[in-house]
Amino acid sequence: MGESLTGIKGAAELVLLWAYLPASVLYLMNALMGEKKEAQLLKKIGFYAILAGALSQTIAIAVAGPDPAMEMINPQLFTLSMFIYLGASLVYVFYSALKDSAFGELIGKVASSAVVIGVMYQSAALALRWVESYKFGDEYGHAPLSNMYESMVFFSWCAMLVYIVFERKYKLKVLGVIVAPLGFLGIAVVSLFGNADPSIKPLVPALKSIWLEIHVMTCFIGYGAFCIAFGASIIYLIRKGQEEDLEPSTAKRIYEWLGWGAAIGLLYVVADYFVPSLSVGREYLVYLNNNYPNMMFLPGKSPDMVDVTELTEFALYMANMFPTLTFYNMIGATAIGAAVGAVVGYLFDIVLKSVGSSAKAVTVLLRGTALFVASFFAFKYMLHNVSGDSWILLRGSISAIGEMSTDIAKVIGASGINQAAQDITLYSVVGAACILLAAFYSSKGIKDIPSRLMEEISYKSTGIGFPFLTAGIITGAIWANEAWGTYWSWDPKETWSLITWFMYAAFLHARYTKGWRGRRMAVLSIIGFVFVIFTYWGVNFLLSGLHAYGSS
Amino acid sequence: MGDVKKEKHVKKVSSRDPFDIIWDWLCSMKVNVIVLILLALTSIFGTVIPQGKPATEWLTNIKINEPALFEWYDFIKFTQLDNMYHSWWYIGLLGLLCITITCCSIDKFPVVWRFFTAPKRDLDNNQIKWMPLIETVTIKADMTETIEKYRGFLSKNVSGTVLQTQVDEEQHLFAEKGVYSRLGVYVTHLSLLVIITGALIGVFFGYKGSIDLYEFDPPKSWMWLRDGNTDKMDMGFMLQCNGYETTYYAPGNIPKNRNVNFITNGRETRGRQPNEYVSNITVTDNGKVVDTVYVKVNHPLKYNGFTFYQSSYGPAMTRDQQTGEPRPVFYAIVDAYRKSDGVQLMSNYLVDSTRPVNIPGTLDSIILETYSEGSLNGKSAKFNLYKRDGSSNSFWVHKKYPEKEDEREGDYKFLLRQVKPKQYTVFQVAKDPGVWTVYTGCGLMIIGTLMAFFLSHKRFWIRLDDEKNGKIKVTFAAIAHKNKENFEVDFEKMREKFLAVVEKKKKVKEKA
Repeated sequence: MGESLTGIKGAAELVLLWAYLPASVLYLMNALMGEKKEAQLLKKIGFYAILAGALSQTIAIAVAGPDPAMEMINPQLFTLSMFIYLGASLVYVFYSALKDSAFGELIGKVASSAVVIGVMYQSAALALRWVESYKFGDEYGHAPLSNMYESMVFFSWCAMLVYIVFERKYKLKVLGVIVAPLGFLGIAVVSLFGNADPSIKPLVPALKSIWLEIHVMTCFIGYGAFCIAFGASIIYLIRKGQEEDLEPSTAKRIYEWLGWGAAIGLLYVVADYFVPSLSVGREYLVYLNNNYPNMMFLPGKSPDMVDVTELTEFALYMANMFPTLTFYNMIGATAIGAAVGAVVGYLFDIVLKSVGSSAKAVTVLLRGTALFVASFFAFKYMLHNVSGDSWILLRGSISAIGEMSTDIAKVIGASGINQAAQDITLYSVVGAACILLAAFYSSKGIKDIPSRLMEEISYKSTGIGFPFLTAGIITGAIWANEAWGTYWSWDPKETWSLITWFMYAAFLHARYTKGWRGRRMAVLSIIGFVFVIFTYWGVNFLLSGLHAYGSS
Repeated sequence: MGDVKKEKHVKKVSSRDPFDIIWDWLCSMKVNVIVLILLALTSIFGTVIPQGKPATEWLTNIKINEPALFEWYDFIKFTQLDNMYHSWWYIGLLGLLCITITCCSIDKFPVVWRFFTAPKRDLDNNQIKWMPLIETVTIKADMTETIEKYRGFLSKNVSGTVLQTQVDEEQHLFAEKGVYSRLGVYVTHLSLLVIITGALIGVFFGYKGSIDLYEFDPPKSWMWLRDGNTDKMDMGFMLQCNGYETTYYAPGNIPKNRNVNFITNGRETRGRQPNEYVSNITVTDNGKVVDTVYVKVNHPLKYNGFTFYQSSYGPAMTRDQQTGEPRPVFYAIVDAYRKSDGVQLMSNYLVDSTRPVNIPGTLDSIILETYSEGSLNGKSAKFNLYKRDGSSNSFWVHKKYPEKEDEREGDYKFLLRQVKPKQYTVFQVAKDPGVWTVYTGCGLMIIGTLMAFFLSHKRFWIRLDDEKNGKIKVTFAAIAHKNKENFEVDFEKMREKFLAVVEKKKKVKEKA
């Protein structure tokens, strides 16, 4: 590659980086300015800036060709859009809480713009990833739909895209509270906590087919639509409860808090399952003990005072004491965490009421925080309290989190500290999610939404998702027939997609009779989405060992 | 819709003979929904319990590896959960689904068909009362002229066919759009039946099997039928493998992530990645070579209703004559020349390690003993030459150094074109005459669901009442059977156009 080419490439990359940033700023400014003519202009400029960015990157690659030193830029953009969705989720909650205030409309606009910016970044990242795959050489190039990283990111993109359509159509921002976090999680699970590899891999022979693109795209647009249905159904359930019972009794409130606690517990279990580093298992404890002797496990002793044999003994003791976390431990921990969270949340409610706090937004945030903190520590405590001497570990776990975050520079092995960093991030995210859910639950924004509207959106989006799911299954069958010689082989993935299809078909038929409405439809819709997630994720992780069994 | 309910009600009250009871049961949506949910839930078992494993497998591997599952062995056997997608009860459920779908469709179809044969052309007083999208103006104009104007309005904005009806003194105009969307549900239901028919055709008239072809073996005309793997079937034509190869991606320029530590914990994987599994196959029918093609994954060979899918490959093995141990087979492709006069004896000739081949034009024969693929000498073959006098000698030939052959003592000079382990390739074979029926069903299903969910039937009426004093009361009403909010927006636009049909002057202010 000549010097001049390198120059062009560098310049193009610069344009790229400097195009996205102002574009985002312009978008936000547009949101802030409201309906003025200048605002429209800013929006247009922003759009073209992003376009210019993507174009320049494409030129950079086309001109420069394969270049081993050139770095991929797309994961950065995905990460960026991820943080934008996270921010948007927050802003949506604020919007719900402060809808009727002077800034309500403005906040809503910022939230919507943020989602649009996120989708633009993500679209650019998807396009770039496609282009960048050709850097391997021409035979490597393929659409970014081939592995877990790529498909999760694409899932997030589809969900957000469908969401934008629905937001525009129904002029309704409340759904964003549920869907924007899902968009965030879609990227986060693979780029932040997960072990999915973001590097571009050449396609294995089985995937080298045009049906890959057709099949994955149809399926995922369907999944995106089901995502909306899921969000709408959740809001429906919340609203239905609120509409039916405006002044809940004490028993009902405790019951409600218990529900929240259980939901959070479930979040932990799910997070724990998919993020193994969270499990306080044997290896992790031994690792901590070996690498952070000064921190926690041997209180009152400085590192100098602890000798090697003592450490080793301690490591063995720990290993025996804490076998790798079992499912039952987690359930127990979840239950206790939920109960404690519920009680603390309820007490907090009473305290707030007696104080007569009128600042609604502050109240709900405090409430959520209290719930989270209580359930978090209860959960943590239970995890460590598998047997016997728990106090040391409770203290240890607290100090571990504190110290590890400050001690990050003292990393011995990079992979180890990343686990700790990931833990901290994950706990923060789960905590934030709790707070947000609590804030959202009692916000003004949600209380303005009639449950009937949510029911209708749920039905509408299912009506969009279902034809796409149908087409997805069919294109999959055609591909299977092209690649394996049979259009249907009862493979677990196929079967689960059929199960999902049956569920949504049942949903639509039940709805069509007009007899079935309300809660059970919402529950059916949520189950349907759980099935979607299982078809997509669970089958890969839980049934992969049985794949061979599935084919008849 | 109101009359539908009435009809059903009447039916239930008047007759309760067993046929009607069963019919009503099959037509009820509840049964339909329950069957769908049952199918969904029972299907889960098949994804958790190993399917289609023989009893021996259960009594050995599964018993050891999954004891918890094995405890249920008797129950699983009894309920056929180990082959549930082919069990009587699962197929029964599918059959019940088909029956309920058919019954529901037959039950409801006449009502829908009336939209085609006898659409409601007039806007009666009752409708005017309940229809939400309605607009009325009173104008001073001539009746026939006005009718023509509004007919033009409807044919321009809705559809070319505008039906005119007179009921008593009123004139009614009717136009509609998307009446076909009413059929979406039935097309979808029909498609499911078509797909199942296609699947049954496949089950009864199709074959599934496999065929294994060794490189350079004589053409083969039979395949293994899948079940039991002992039944052969003659295909009526022959296949020959001219070579199998796994190609790999060139070690590419792997782009690095800028923030690789943050995202992947510094992991990076490199290695040889298979690009394609390719077999070169010659098809021979009636002794004539029909075609020579490359068969790859996702690029099957199709011939005479049979389809061949690249599914596996491996090294050919043979038993060692002395030890009886299995060992891999090699083959070489060589050219041979007589050193004395330079005459070419062999060209592109196949020599393998199983048996000696005669060198044409001589009484000597040659066998491939072994081969090596080193970095120093490249591809090299060790041959053994058996002379007619009974003596034999072995020697190496290197592909990289053909000139060394001139230096070597002996009667012949060999040029090595290729040497490698002999491989076999395995194809899944399918002959499924039902595939196109299934595909037709799939196409119908996509069309049906799109029709059902994305289109809606929109109907527009205009009623003209002669008020006898030179004034005409014009009532415009519309209804859509789906996507009602969207239609409200559309109607708003239509309403404006409707009001603009007559110039403002002629409009008479309505008396409250």
